[in-house]
Amino acid sequence: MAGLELLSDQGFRIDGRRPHELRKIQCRLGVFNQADGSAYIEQGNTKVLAAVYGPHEIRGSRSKVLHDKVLVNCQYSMATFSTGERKRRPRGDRKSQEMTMHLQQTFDAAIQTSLYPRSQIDIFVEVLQSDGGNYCASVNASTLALIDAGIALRDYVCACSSSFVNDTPLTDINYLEESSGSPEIIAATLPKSEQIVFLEMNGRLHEDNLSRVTDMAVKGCKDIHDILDQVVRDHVSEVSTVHGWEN
Amino acid sequence: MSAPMEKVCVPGQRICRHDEKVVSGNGTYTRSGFVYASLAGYLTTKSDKDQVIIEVKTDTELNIVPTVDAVVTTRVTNVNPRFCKCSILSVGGITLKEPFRGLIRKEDVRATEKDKVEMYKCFRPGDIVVARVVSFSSEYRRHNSSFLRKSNFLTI
Amino acid sequence: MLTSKTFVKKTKRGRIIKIVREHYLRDDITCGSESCQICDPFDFGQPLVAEPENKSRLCLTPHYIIPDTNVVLHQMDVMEDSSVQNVVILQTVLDEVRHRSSPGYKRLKSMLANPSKHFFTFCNEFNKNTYVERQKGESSNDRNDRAIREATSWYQDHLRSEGQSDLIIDVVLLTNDADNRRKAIQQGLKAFTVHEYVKSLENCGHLVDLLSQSQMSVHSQDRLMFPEHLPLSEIQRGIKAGRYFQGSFMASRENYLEANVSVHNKDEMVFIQGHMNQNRAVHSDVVAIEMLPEEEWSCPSSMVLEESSEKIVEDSMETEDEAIKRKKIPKELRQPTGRIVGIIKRNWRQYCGILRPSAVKEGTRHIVVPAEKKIPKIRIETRQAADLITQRIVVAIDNWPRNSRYPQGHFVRKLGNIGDKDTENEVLLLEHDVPHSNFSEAVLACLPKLPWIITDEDYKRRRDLRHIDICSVDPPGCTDIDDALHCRELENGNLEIGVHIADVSHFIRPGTAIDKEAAERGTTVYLTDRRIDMVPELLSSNLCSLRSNVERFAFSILWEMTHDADVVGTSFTKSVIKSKAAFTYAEAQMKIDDTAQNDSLTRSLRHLNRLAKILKQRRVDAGALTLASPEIRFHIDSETHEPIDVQAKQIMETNSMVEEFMLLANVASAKKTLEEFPDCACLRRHPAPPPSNFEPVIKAALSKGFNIDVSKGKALADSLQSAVVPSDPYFNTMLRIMTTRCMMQAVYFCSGMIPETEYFHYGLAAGIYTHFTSPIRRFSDIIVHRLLAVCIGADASYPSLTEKHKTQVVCNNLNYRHKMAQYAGRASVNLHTHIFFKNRTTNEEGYVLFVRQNALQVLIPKYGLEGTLYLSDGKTKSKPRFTYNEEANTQTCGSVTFHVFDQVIIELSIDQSNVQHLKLCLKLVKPEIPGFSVPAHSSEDSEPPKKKQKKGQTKK
Repeated sequence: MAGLELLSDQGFRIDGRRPHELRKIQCRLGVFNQADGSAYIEQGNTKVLAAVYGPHEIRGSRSKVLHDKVLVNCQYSMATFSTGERKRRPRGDRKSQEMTMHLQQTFDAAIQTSLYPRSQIDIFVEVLQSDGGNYCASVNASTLALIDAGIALRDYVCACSSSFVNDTPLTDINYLEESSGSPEIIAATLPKSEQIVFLEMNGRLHEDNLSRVTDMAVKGCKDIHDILDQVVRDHVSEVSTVHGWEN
Repeated sequence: MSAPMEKVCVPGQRICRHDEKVVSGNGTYTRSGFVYASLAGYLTTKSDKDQVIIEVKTDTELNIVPTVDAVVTTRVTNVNPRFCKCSILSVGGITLKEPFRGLIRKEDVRATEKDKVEMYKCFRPGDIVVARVVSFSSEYRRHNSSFLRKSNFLTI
Repeated sequence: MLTSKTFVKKTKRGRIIKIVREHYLRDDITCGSESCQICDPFDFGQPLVAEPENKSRLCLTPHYIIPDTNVVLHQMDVMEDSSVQNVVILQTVLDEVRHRSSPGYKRLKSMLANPSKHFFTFCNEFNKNTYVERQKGESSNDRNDRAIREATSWYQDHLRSEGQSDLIIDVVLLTNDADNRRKAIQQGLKAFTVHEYVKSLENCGHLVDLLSQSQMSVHSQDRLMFPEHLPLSEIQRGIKAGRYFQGSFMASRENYLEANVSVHNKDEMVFIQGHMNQNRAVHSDVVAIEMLPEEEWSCPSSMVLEESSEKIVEDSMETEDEAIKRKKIPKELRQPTGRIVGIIKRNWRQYCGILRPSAVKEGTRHIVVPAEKKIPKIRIETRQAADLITQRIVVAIDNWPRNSRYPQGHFVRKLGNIGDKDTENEVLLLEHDVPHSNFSEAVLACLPKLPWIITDEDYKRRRDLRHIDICSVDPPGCTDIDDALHCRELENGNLEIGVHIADVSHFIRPGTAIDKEAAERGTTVYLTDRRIDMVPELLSSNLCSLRSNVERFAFSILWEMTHDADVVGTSFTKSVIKSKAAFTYAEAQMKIDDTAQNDSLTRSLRHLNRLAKILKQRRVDAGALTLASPEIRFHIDSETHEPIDVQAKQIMETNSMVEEFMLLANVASAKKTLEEFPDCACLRRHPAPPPSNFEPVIKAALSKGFNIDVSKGKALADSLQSAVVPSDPYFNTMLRIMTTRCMMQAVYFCSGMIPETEYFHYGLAAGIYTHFTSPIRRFSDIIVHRLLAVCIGADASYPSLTEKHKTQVVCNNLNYRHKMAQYAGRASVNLHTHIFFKNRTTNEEGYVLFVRQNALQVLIPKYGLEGTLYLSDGKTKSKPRFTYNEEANTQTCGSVTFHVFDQVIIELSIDQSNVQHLKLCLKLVKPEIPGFSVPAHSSEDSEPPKKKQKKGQTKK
């Protein structure tokens, strides 16, 4: 695999996408019955499952009680079979802990926490297959699961990653592009108001290029939002038809 | 049976401008002069003497947690000379998916003769009690007051 | 549409993992034809012409060509020809070429970028209709072939489908693989071999010559077989197991039977001797070697041996090898010897050479003798032999079959008449890979428009130093003045010294075409009669050059120094200066020495001179080396453009003065850039040579009774200083010349890539060094200027400036170009020396530099030349026999013994028997040896003496 060309002269990436194109997204809400809300998303070859429980009474230590807000508790874990080589620790390693913290911070900002004081919402994310963009898929899946659970949100949270290769920003990078050493920016935004909730950068990027790459990521979030929106609307209409809902 | 007539809305969707006539109900919030939805479901409007209440109805039950001054239905689990522990089953009319824990202190059982209350004679484990939430203790147990005049005892 | 590519791969550590990748298939891939009505327009490359001209007899309709990978790789010269147009390069082919040969890929890319050739890349891997999935049991080659056929067939259908123009355009598949052709024809496609197709073209006779012979049979009558090369997998296994070693093959210039291989981890080179052991390796190939058992170890013969260029003796390969084996080598002299078992990577390039006439009159097969002595002769096939016999030509090697003594290749192009100065210059530049084409339109477009004026904006951003008396000191005839100096007395009793360097980075902005061209060239190349500029002349000789009495932009370093040359403060600034005078070294020296002159310029020159001496003494005390190399200048006759006289360069005090301040400036900028950019500063280092390099010097000095201490730089400098023979002043210079040859190359590097202990510059005894003072002629200086400009806030940084890997890549290129420029300069001097001596014979003084088995290497100081004085022919028995004493390193004949450093008188002339390599012919005049030496030749006599002809006959 000598010298993999991330962006060919004709403007195609390794998998045949153009720089601004997202991977194929497929998602479903309400995959489990036992959880209060659940969702499954596939972004390219990255497959993530999210389950939401709550809001319920705080378990475990009483010291974490927030008298005016809900406690968002996340757990991120990667299945041992999710990567090319079998992982030995599904959770508890540093990467997972970092991800957990990021997810927590992200959803703290999106959920209307004042509606559920002294309670706890659990978000469990499980990565079944990892091919780049784990955080983004986790965020997208959690958003859907939260909507499915009926928890009040200010807005969707959509996340997208972008990179900078050969003077061109790329959107939604996969594992090969991630590990090639080019800089990576991951942004999670509230698409309607275009507010950035979470921004992470890996690698080195010259500041002249920062705004271009970030804009690309935010645009990617908007595109993902459109897709998720459609899925949610379809789900709502479908479910209520089943329930014979009338009003 | 009949197809739902109302509009589907999603969290973050802007519904309408917020003014005196519009009240944001369940499932909505206001921000910078507009009313936004915060749940995914159907938009319903209820007019109530001149005011329009905008709500989002979902097929699943509303998520709610007990807050101060909410009327809750609880079942007694433990009885103690000083207080009895109970588990909150529903808030208002809405059943909770998971029970919360609450506490009814001796002093909160009735308004008069507070020190002459004998807990064992008031409550037994398994009783259903309708109570109002008084406060939250630092240990995170809600103190309920079964200080309601109307039928407080329902033994099932 | 989405499919996935799944395959299993073995990682470096030997584990096996399964890779699953997405592969998106699109339907918006354009076919690239101008006439196509269906596909969308595109914005990369050039479209295929709507009505392609048809010149082939094989396919009568207008058509596009689709070559397969092997055709592209092997017939690159045919493809590059301007008459080959309207070719579709499939993505499958492009990827395979990239994988297999990166120089081939570069050439292909430049062809694709060339608008007149109408080459188009079709992304068949991403096109829904032409994507081919690997079937079970199909090899990847077969799959690629199938993909190519599928794409061809799609093109055919697409160009004829509804909605297209009425003109029927065909597609022709070119492949030399018979199986592929058969299957294509079965599918209904037109397929031909490259040879058939090229031969069928009208008016393209020259293309047939360019065809490479990769699949053709061998033409020689050799029954001799070279041992087979091992396949790559076998080699890799052997390397892992430690049986084989990988290294780079370096042929010997002196002896065509010998070569060395430098193995990656070992210090010593492995010696390879003999045809069979060399096994068809060509200089600079990456090879795999196997060590021979110790009993078979050998050592380089001290003979200077050249393959006779007159006749090929076909079966003498074996006899030559046998002759070597018979020589008994004493154990102490044995070097690790090995043999080549396989070639890992060929690094062939195009070679300049001369055609040698073949014995057969009407034959088309000829031998080409390359200009570079390290390359073996090449066999080519051409019909233009009669024209080419007087020309310098460029050829490329295709392959080297097992039963052929010489590699096979093909003709590429011709350069011009042999002996013609321009042609020879061209050969020189080509052989040393010096880019010398005219600056392209894109580059010239980056130049500022004339008249160039300095605006108020510019004045505001720079410090105004126009009032200071600045002057520049340069060699005579210099038009690209990079540096200027001044020295001013300050009120507090100290001196202000300023070094002002031309502000080239203001004009050459990063990322522009002119920047890329300069980065590629790396340095200005100085030939004797020509200068190949790194930047266009408008900048180098005019706008950047610090000419006198004009305002120019500069980058200034200002020091406050005491009268004892102690630096009190340093500051860097961008400035505007107005140089008052541009002196030559001689003029400046005269001004300093003339006590009558006392104006401010003279005073500053005197201060500078005095301070320079102090600085130099300080450096010498710290262990800096002063080495000598015989530099000469030619005086060129203005009419004939031929050299009329040769002179060794004179070194004056003013040379040293300028040098000292340039060194000071370089060190100051190195320190400043390292401080601000610890991991991406562009610096220069000079590694200390290993002690073994110094052996010839130590041995030679010992013969005269001097001990050279090479333990440290300072020790070396001191011992060189003390090794003086009062009666022979040139001895010390010769010793220094020999020491110069032991040195390693100084190289540029990026500070983040090398640990700090290795920053040392051995020759200058400086802990840190860089190049800052000549941005007009060196690209590294431009990089340092840019870094410094960011340090002082005068300019913005840009992404590649702060990336250490990119900087290291640039440094590697600069090192390569610098080395090539030096070789080219030396070769140019040689060329002119030969032209100078063409019709002249003179007697000169010389010193013996090295003693070899059959010759003496003699240095002639007046011309700075080195020549070989052969002591024996080997053929004529009547000549006096010389006895070679290897230990004492002497040659004796009768009563006369030659040692190293002996002084002799030599007769110089040119031996014109080998047109490509004009040799300096040396004959001994004094000390006289009857039967060997020649009588003193009077210099007025311009006729070539008779003796020379006789010697010329017997010399082979």
